[in-house]
Amino acid sequence: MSKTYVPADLRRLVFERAQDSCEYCLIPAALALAAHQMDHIIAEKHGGETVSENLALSCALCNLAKGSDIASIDPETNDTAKLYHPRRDQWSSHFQFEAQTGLIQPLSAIARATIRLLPINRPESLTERVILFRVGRLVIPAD
Amino acid sequence: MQITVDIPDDMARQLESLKDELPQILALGLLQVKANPSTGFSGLAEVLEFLATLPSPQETLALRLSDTAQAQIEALLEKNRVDGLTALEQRLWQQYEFVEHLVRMAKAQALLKLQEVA
Repeated sequence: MSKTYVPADLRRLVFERAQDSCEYCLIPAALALAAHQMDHIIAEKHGGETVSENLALSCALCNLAKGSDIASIDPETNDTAKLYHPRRDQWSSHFQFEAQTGLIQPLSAIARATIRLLPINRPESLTERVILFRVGRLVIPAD
Repeated sequence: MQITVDIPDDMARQLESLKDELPQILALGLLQVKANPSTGFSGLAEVLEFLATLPSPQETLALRLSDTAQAQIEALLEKNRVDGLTALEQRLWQQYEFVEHLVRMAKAQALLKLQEVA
């Protein structure tokens, strides 16, 4: 079991590009207990490479829930849907943040499948995002 | 292997609905008994002990996992990607998840406090 080495300058780029926040649930690294992870958007076992275009910043919880998956089921249609690809998909085309509830609302099949699989709207995460938004520490991706 | 043990009635009642999970429960218990308090997931107990000292907002925000516990998290993440987790490893991960959310809430509250005094 070997973990692929991600060079320091590439790690820095991934953190800076994501503004230090999980690119799936938006939780900042400073708020987490375990360190945020270098997520291979397309997992290495599916041929995904350790390059900028295939890396996203992910909290440990989202990273485990995603595992090596690249697609899941859209709970609305029961059809297979690709998971959100932070490098290719525009966040605002797929998700909308509700400041009052902390919910990240889906706008597409990709978003519905991703929100369900990870799961981005855990009850605990909602409270965390509401507080973070109030203190101006939640980064909503601007495409 | 079959074993027979005498247990109190109230524990027997609690175990009634968990019969199928008994081997996992025993495995987890064994892990706790054998755990070195300074290593492994029992390291998470240190997080709870830290929070019980009512740390300042700054101290709370600076809280991170020990290197040992962080390495275990990363090993589980890698195992999950390659082979998947065993039922026992999934239980360990659930323990970590609980503490992760607890700390995130403590840190969020610390941020609120710092903003109130600013």
